[in-house]
Amino acid sequence: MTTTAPASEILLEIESLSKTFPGQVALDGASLHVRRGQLHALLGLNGSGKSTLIKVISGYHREDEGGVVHAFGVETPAHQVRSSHPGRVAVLHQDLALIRGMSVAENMGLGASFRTSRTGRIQWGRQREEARDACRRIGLHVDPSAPVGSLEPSAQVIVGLARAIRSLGQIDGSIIFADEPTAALGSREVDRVFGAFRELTSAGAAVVVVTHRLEEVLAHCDALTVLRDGRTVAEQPTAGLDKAKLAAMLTGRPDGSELVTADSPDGPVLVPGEPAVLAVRRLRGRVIESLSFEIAAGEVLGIAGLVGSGREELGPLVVGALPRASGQILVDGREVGPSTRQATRAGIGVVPADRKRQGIFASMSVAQNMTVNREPARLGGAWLDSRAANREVDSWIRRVHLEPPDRHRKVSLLSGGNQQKVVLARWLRCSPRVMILDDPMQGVDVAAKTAIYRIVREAAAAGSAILLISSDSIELEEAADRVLVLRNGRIGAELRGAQRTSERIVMEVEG
Amino acid sequence: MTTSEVRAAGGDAETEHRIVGSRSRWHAMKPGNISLVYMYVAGFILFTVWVPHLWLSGVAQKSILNISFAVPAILAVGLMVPLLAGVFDLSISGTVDLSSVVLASLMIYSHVAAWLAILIVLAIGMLVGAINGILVAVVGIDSFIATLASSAILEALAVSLSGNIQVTGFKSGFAKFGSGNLIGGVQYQVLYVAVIALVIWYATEHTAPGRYLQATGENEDAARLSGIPTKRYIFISLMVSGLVAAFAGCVETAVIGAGESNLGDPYLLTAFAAAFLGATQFKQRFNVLGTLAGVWVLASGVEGVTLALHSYAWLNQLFFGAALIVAVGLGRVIEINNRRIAIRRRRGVLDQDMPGTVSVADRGAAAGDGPPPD
Ligand SMILES: Nc1ncnc2c1ncn2[C@@H]1O[C@H](COP(=O)(O)OP(=O)(O)OP(=O)(O)O)[C@@H](O)[C@H]1O
Ligand SMILES: [Mg+2]
Repeated sequence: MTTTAPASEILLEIESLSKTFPGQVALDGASLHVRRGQLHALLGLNGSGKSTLIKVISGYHREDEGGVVHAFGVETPAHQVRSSHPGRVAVLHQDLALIRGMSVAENMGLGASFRTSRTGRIQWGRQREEARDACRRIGLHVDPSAPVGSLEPSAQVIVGLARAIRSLGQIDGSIIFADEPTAALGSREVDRVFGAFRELTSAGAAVVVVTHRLEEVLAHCDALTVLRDGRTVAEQPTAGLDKAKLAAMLTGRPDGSELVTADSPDGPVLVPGEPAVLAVRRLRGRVIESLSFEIAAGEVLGIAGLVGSGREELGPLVVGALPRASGQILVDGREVGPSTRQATRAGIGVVPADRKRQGIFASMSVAQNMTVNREPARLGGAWLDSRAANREVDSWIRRVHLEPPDRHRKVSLLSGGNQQKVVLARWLRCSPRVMILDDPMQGVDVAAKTAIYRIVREAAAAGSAILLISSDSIELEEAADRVLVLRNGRIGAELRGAQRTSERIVMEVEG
Repeated sequence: MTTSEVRAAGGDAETEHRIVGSRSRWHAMKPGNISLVYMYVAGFILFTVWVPHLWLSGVAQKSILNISFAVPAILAVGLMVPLLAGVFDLSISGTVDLSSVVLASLMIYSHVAAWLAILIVLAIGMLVGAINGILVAVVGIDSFIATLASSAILEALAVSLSGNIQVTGFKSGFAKFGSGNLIGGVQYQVLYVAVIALVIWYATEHTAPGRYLQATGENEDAARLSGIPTKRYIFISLMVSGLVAAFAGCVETAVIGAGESNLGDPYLLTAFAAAFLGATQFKQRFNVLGTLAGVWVLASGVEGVTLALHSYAWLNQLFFGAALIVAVGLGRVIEINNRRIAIRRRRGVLDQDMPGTVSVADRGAAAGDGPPPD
């Protein structure tokens, strides 16, 4: 196989690739062309087949017959691309497939191979050394014996990437797939990850990255492929595009501008004398130090902050999933106890940041997942699955754009973004008094995002208080009335009205 | 091992079918979901050919129902409740031991009336469940360890209380409580199975608390964040299994006519095997109907083999182990095969109406033209 190839050499050529699951066409003649040195965005709405395509190429699923794939100039069955070109294709899956309780060095070894002596004993010294080097090469300085779970999310992504790269024989002329690596990252961290991608492409690799954040595509990527319902509907360079055009390509509607322009309403303010819907007084946790704020009825309060600023701690603290060291939480002026049960009873609903571990009931159906939080009194009798309940579930399936719109489907069979929609609908459905949205749009596509924010707005208009905690400054600019920026567990800045632009938020976040 | 891992092993990611809006009740009857039924039919035919006179007699079938099925079924259905909530209860055999000895002692030595003695034993069963519940849900000990330990303690109590001898001398009428004739040779113990199974089936499948129980077992963190008092459900589930185990102990004591401190031992494996077999049937999780089917198939198999080959001490264990592997394995094989067929069929449909198909893509576009979502 040649290693010295012209810069525009096509590394991977996929034509009419299809994949059918029982009762569900995930890929329907998709194509993809990836060139050497290219940072290539793979785009599409939720359920359009992006992850499925990556899973086929990595050998996890077997494609239907009929597609033609050329990998590195050789015709190869799609699901064998990785196995018949060892060391040339690396995949970073959506959940990273890292074991959180094990160290960086151990995770590296699991993914690639362990350094062993002749007796089979693992040489930990060398193993750690190599792990450290592999991370440093793409810009992460990390203690190789630290457990992966203790690292920041972006550092975890880089460890996953380093591991993927280590499984490559050479960087030049190889392909790295990354499925939504930035879904939970803040802007500085996103830059770090794309910086690492850029280094790979400059060294002659190609990177195919899936993302729902259109600004990342415009800022970092060279070319893009758009999937819609399993088919490729666009393949082109990113030059000359803007967000509205991208949104139009994704949805297939003539005009994408209504999906990306935000209205900037002036948020409601506290009525003097009336208690705030949510009041947090001198809250202290592990990182958070004496945090106080209030949210008025109808207000969407955004929380920004770097990892370690207390941002990730706030949601779990308010809802009682983490123990508070001290402080009070009041809903409508009434104090709320420290347990999750007391919080939910007081009318606090939460869309947690970690969908897989705290959000979904994987083997239960869409309908069961959506209604699991409902109090028995509201179920209309003891017998479940009444016609009324089904109607309500169906209407929420439509409102959050769930695809496929099937209430019986097991949630584990939905695409990532669609799983997130189910978790969102669970609480939106009840319009709780206080709604905590903790990075709620992870992996949700532009069209659904707009629809969901409209629903959040409606809930606010009906008198709810919304706490929107987000790593995405653009999301905060578009959806929040007021933004608190956390720094070292305290409020570093409060931005309202015209101040709350994403640039300003990023600036304040970084102090 | 957690119970949800076991559940995942039974279910498979790719076998769901898409029928938007309504799904037939018979969905659960897909071949992959009823491997136990196949096994039973195969076994039935085998024994019919092998030992027709013994096997097809009413005596044999009634003996399966009364002796081999009833008490294990009560225990297994009770055990299923904590399993559904994601915790193990290994103390059910110890609970049976203790309740048997306590019941016999109360009635025989202290001359307590039967109904009162039974009520006291049931209260003890609930107390055992509550203690397990405190250990697991409040103190936070892993359920496997906590109930393994409490089972040992219960057994020790039973042995010391009975002095390690059978407590005998019930009044003659008491046997009726277990083995009295209900109708046509079917004994009262079978009625108890029916009642308990019906109650637990209704509670777990058709009420909101049942759904919460299931959610707790599926993903405790997510359940807690959904406002479900998960600790309480775990606690209650262990009380239910304790209560039901104590009742099973009373029934079995009446049937054999003596209090015994090792009465429960053989039932532990049967109950677990049946519940886990049942979890691969009908639904991809623990369920009452599957559990009952599991007990029935195990009971019939043991009876059939015993009739054909005489009784050996090791036969039960061997049979349970083998049946567990075969039934779960068979389910997997059928499932994988089904998936292949479904894909082939799907592809055939696609090929036929290629030009004018209303494909997924067209539907998506049509939806895009419609009124915007509210
Ligand atoms: N194992 C499976 N069994 C059945 N259907 C599946 C399975 N995996 C995916 N699907 C379906 O295939 C379609 C494509 O899913 P895929 O995960 O590729 O979407 P995606 O483009 O990655 O979406 P997202 O942006 O939400 O991650 C979806 O409709 C999904 O429900
Ligand atoms: Mg995906």
